[in-house]
Amino acid sequence: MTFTIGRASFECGPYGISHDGDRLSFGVNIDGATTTDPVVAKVIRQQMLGLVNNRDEPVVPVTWDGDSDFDGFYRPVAVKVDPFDTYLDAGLMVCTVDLERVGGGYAFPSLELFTGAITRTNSHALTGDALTAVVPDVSNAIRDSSAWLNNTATRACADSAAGVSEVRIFSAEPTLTPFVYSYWLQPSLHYFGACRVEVLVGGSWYELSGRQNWYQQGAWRISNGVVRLTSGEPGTIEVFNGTAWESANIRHVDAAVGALGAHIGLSYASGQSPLLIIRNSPERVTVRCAAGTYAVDYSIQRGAMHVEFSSPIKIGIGYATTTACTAVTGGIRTTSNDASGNRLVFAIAQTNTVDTTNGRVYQSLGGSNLTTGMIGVALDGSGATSFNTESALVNQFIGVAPVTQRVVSR
Amino acid sequence: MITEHLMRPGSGGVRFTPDFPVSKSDAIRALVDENAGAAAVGASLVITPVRVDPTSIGDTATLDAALYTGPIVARPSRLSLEVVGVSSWLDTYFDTAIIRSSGTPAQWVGDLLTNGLTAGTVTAAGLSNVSRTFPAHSATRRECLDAWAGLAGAEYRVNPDLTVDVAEADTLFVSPPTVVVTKRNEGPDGAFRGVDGSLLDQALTQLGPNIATKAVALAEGEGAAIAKGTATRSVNLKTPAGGTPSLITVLSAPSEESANANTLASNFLNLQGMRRQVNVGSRTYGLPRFVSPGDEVYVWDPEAGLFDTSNQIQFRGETIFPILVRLLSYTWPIESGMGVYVRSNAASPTYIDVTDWVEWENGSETWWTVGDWNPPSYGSTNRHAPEIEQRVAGTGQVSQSGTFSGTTNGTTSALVVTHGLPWTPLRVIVQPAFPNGGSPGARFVSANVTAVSSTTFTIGRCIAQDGSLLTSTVVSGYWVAFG
Repeated sequence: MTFTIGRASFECGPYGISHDGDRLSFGVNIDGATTTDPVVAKVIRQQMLGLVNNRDEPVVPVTWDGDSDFDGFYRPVAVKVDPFDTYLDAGLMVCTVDLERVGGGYAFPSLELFTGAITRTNSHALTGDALTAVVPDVSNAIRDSSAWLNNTATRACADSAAGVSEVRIFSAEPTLTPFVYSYWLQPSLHYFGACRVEVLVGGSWYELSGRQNWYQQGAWRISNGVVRLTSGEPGTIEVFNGTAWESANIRHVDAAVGALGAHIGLSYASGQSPLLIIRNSPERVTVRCAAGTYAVDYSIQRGAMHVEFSSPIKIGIGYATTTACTAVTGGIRTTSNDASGNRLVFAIAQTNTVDTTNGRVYQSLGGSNLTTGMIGVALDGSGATSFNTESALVNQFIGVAPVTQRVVSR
Repeated sequence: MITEHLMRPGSGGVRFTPDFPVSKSDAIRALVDENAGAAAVGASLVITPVRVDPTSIGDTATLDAALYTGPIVARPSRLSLEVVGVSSWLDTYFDTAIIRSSGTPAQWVGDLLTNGLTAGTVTAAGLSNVSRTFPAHSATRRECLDAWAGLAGAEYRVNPDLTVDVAEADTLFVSPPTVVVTKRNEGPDGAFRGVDGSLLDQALTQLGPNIATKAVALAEGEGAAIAKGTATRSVNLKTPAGGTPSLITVLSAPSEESANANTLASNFLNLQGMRRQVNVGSRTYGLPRFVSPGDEVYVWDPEAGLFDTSNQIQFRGETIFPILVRLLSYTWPIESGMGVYVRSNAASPTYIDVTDWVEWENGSETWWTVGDWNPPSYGSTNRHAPEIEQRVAGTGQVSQSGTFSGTTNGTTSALVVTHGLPWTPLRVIVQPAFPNGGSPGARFVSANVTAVSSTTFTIGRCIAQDGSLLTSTVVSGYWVAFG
């Protein structure tokens, strides 16, 4: 039996269920049925407590294979979780949950995407191609204010869901017009292709809910099911090929000297830099790491095949080991397909210096200190589809679509 | 709550808990109650961002650290005080005319401040010297300060430490913005400070038939001779029947010269269109620490239509394009953690620390009023074209009158009058004396007053009772000059 609420998943069902109009109250246990690992129990506790006062995700899906009437979208009103001591004593933490159904059809509400599209200021005369809407590739179509839309492209997604294996992506050249897309989706698919922040606990990865992160003892990664970035020495960038994840090692570059610099997540051999969650919503996540004079934000947006980074100092990005690259507009790409058959692309929006011998690009000295850049993986390298080529990924980085997703009444 | 405005005094109040000691409430009463005799010197409420000990650090340091200083204007009860902004000390008329010819900003500020307010940092760069006469009892010192600021292209800020800073707006206030108001985020982010805008929306007013498609400015002249200026524009609005609306508005400006009538109509029409206003409610603690009225701020909420692609910043790991507006006023709560004191008006002020008994207003929103960012043709640009702004707003106009007597031109009947003003009038109206010496029934045509300069003006035509020109004739009369 599986019961999910937001990003938390239980191998037991709720109990003490009470319906009062649109209000739903119940209890659910963090116990041996779900996990016997105390640290994992803490993770689940974090996922539950992160449901409340979560500005990034005020409405969450709930599913229960024991009673499909539960399945729908709810607004968490209150969540209480027992102290961790009770789990150590009795192997049990009781969660009491108070939810409110989204009005006008909680089981199948409308999801709205507010988005626009602009060209990121850059020194390469690029206009960009913004990813304005991304949804699971199911028969439900997206509707904008004027017409049903056809998708621009699809990408394989690693999230498991019955009958769905790809995300559908709509893109647009930057324009002033604000977009409002609407679509309908069952709650079980809400997190398909959604962005997430995960931490490595006991050899397994667990999603965090909300912005409160207590866990700073291991690696972290951000993912959207298409591409993911993992911290470490070195860090890794991975792309999902439809069957498995394919990875490459990357590292920051010290812009002052063009040599390898801080690791991804700024973790040094002496320890992990703290992970601060800036945004944790299904459509976009941003995390921040700071150590000494370095501070870097890493972001990933739904459907993207690239990861963004930004820093208030001059910084660069590149391969962790010497790799031959070729200059492209805005940065560099791997000259030849790697062992997985892919090619990486590194780009920086500001004026930059490329090192094609070692596979690095970094912001040139002089000018403003702000660095905004990307790491993309062109799946299938030289054989990539037109939407997934290195130049296309750079354009998708230059085209900015600040998407906000909202669950509303139909 | 305390309300502060850009270049306006604002107001506010504080309430105390029921256990407020009588010794303290009596001490405050003694300062403000006239019946208390010589001790009733008056007092101000002083609020600091954190609690300090004014006795230890001194009056100067306390005021330097203060978020707010406001004179107490009412004591509704033992447990409450009402205040106004410290700049209200300028809301007084004056007994002696204030006159400057090409006066510098420092000179004008020195002339216009009073009642304990002194010049702070006066930055003359970019400001104009101003020649002006403010007659006694014609306006308050604040009104004169506003009029001078408009002519000089300046803005001013009255600080809690009783000093007044003056400069161009971009110099005096924060520009470009450092505060970013969003619905989701707050806290420092590099050069920016995020502020929670939990209640954030865009208000649209002056819609439907409340806009104008045509403006008519009635300038100088009488009857059929009234000079008219017009301006029109096309709008997307339709009538209920789907037709093109005709919405004409009229502005009466009898002192405006005919040559300016079209410009006046155009500027007036700009104010008769749809207006946008951003309403912001914020729960960020201690907002006055980060932003003050006059500062530019970024506001970002694309769902409410609050975005502007001409502004692009990197904020919290994301490229956003917020609107840029000016904070014009806000109302902020007095929150726990602040220090609150009553400061006596004296050469050596004493402080009554009332912090422990304040009814804190934690959890209340700070309500902001931010300036329109549309239409762009008005606003800061015209703020530095003061004559246009004054004529449209109808403020800041002063006048002076006099008499004249002289001999008209032997050919054209014109008469040059020396007005003797230290400033250049914008408009002059003339009236013949009655009886007019040897020319009873003489008429002057005000529309023909021309060649107005810093020293003279010319009456173009003096006409006898029979309609003939009065050439080489002594005439006399009255003039009124407007500036």
